[in-house]
Amino acid sequence: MQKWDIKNWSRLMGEAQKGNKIAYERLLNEISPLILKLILKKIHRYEWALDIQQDVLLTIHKARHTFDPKRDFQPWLYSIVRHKVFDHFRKYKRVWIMETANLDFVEMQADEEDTLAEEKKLFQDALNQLSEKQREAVQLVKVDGLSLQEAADQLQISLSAMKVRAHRGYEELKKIINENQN
Amino acid sequence: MMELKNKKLIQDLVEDLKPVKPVRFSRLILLWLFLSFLSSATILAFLGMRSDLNAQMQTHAFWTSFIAFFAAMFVCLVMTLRLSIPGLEPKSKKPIGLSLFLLAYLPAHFILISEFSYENLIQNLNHGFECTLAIVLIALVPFIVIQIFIAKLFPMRIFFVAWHSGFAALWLGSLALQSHCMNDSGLHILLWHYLSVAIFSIVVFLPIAWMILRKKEQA
Repeated sequence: MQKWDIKNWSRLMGEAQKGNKIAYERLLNEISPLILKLILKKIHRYEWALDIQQDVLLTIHKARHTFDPKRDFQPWLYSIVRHKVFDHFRKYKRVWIMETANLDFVEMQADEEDTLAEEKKLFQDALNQLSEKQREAVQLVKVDGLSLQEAADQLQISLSAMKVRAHRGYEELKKIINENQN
Repeated sequence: MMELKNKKLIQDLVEDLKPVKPVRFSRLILLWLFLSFLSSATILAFLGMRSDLNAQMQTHAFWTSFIAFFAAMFVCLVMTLRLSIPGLEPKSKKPIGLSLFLLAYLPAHFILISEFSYENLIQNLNHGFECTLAIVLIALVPFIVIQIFIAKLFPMRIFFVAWHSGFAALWLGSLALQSHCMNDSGLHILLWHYLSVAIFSIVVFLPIAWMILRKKEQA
């Protein structure tokens, strides 16, 4: 866990206000990770947080004269960070809502794809457990989408035999799937 | 990559560093009060003081109105500056509540000290517009001064800053006009030193201040 040298920051900023570049550089380098941490508490997208962090650093530079070295540095810094985060929400509210909605849609799609993949696996497992004749019949009619007559021609059996094979195959398949699910 | 960008930005900012004079909250308040009272006194010198001012200053009504306007002006001034300096903005909603309370208290105060009647109301409605004009005239310099102050600070909630800055200047105008206006009727003060001024602040000063602050924010 990182420790912050908070007590020293008021002094460093006081020095920076006098034009001390070394103190200013040290201060900015020390507060940068804290700024990012504070922003990430509110905004969970890292690239946005980095943009706001830079904006905060620029604001600190522009508004450095509003810091009174007799006061604590932390409330001053937190106030700027809070304002910039709020400002970001205000400016990019629409983009944020759209991106969030888009993320939700992608998540929903991913969920649906996962469910579909699970169902496929269940079906394939059940299909593999059928006898060879039944598996062929179900594969041709249900998976490859052939008609009963086309499937019968391919297997070189009569249409009625194909109907029986396919029907028994479905029944067996349903039974196996139910058993596997339970 | 971003780490490098950050380092580069810090280097640029360090190179750009120039000495600055830190602003002091109490100094800003005193400076605004000084400049505003000075400009008000100058305008009052042209408008002329009321002849019975010394006698009026012995009365209870004069001082209660004076204190009420001063409190409203002071709260608005403090709020304007506190909302423009990071780290000083109020943590709770109490100060904003106080400024709204004073906004509501002032008319109640003037209604209480007035002899309210329909005839009185009509009579007061017909005379008094020049008082509002004088208040606006007195408030112009304090309003400009406070906008200059804000422009050099870091206003955060621009609507509230604009709201309070306009009212601070106009309540000072109302306060100063007490030394000029001969009409001590509560109804006159309510209509022409308070209501019309509040409407003017919301319709004119608030949008002007808000536009200035928006431009500053976008710059």
